[in-house]
Amino acid sequence: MGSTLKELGINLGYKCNFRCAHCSVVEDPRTKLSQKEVDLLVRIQKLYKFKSLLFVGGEPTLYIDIANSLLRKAGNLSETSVRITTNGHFADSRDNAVKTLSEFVKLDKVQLSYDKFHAKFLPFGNIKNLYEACKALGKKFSVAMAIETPMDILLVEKIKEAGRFNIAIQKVLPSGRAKTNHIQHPFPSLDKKVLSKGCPNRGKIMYFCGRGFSACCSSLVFNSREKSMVHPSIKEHLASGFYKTAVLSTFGRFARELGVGAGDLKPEHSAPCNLCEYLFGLAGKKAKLEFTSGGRNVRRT
Amino acid sequence: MTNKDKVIAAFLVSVGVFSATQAMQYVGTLSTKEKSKISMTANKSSDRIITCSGVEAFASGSEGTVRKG
Repeated sequence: MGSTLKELGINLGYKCNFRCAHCSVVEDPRTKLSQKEVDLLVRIQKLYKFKSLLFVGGEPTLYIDIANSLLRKAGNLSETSVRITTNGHFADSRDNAVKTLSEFVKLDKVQLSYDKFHAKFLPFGNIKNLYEACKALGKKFSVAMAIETPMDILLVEKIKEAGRFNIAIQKVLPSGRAKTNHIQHPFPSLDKKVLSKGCPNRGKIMYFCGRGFSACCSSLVFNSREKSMVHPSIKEHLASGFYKTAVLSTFGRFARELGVGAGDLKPEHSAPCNLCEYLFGLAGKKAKLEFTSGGRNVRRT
Repeated sequence: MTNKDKVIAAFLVSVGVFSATQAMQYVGTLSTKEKSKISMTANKSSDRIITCSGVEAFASGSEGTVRKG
């Protein structure tokens, strides 16, 4: 089946052995993928033939058995790259890191989350151990570093001491625990260019265990329990008003539909996810908009 | 705006943290000590820093833009 979707992100379960102050995930840690959900995702992979599968959590290495169950049933994955985003807790030595990574029946890329928040839980030596393990196993390795302020970028210099790999810098969004803890990257003014953008996750879709599919990977899913943003099937999600509005359109167009102009926006709306959450919140609150499958973007009730 | 300020602002734009206008405004709020620190990082860190296109970590609750250094 031809699809513009290139990557399927799978939330294996919400349990994590770290308690980072900025984490977006605030779901019940007892929730994990059921066998029924695994079978659904296997069918989905066979149908859409995603070029990339991403396992996240919680901490995905706490659910290797579930990931493997899915990977074994998914058939030929020679054209599919499998990656994880991990907290690296298991890499207290290079050998232990090799052992854990080798448990995955297929794994091509490892992305370690490391920043000032993760540093409270992860010994610095684990970065080098994980990097060396990936090198030994021929897997790509990178670090994702969340920043609360631009000055947090200084940590890059220290991380570079662990090895030669790419470091991705990401601004913390007020989602989940970050929102509760009032942690978010500041913006000195509004960048109006955000209005010409759409969801940065275009081409990707996420499956949240116990909930369903959504293109949104954080703010709207974790801050809101709005059912119209998460669907039991990909087909339903792609046909939804939410997908058409947030992903296929631009925020500027959505804002105009709501009568919102640049003058109504705050500096923090420079981040697409912040703006998206604001507009959908406004839509739900002010105009009582109902997002329907298959119909127009929005329907006024 | 000094040359150092411009270097810092350009660095922040290049790693996707701010737009040019935002970067200049932000640099204006930094102390001399902060400017020195971030300018050293800017001078040394242009390689191997990627800013993610969209949400690279995907479900990490963070957002950025990608550029390979």
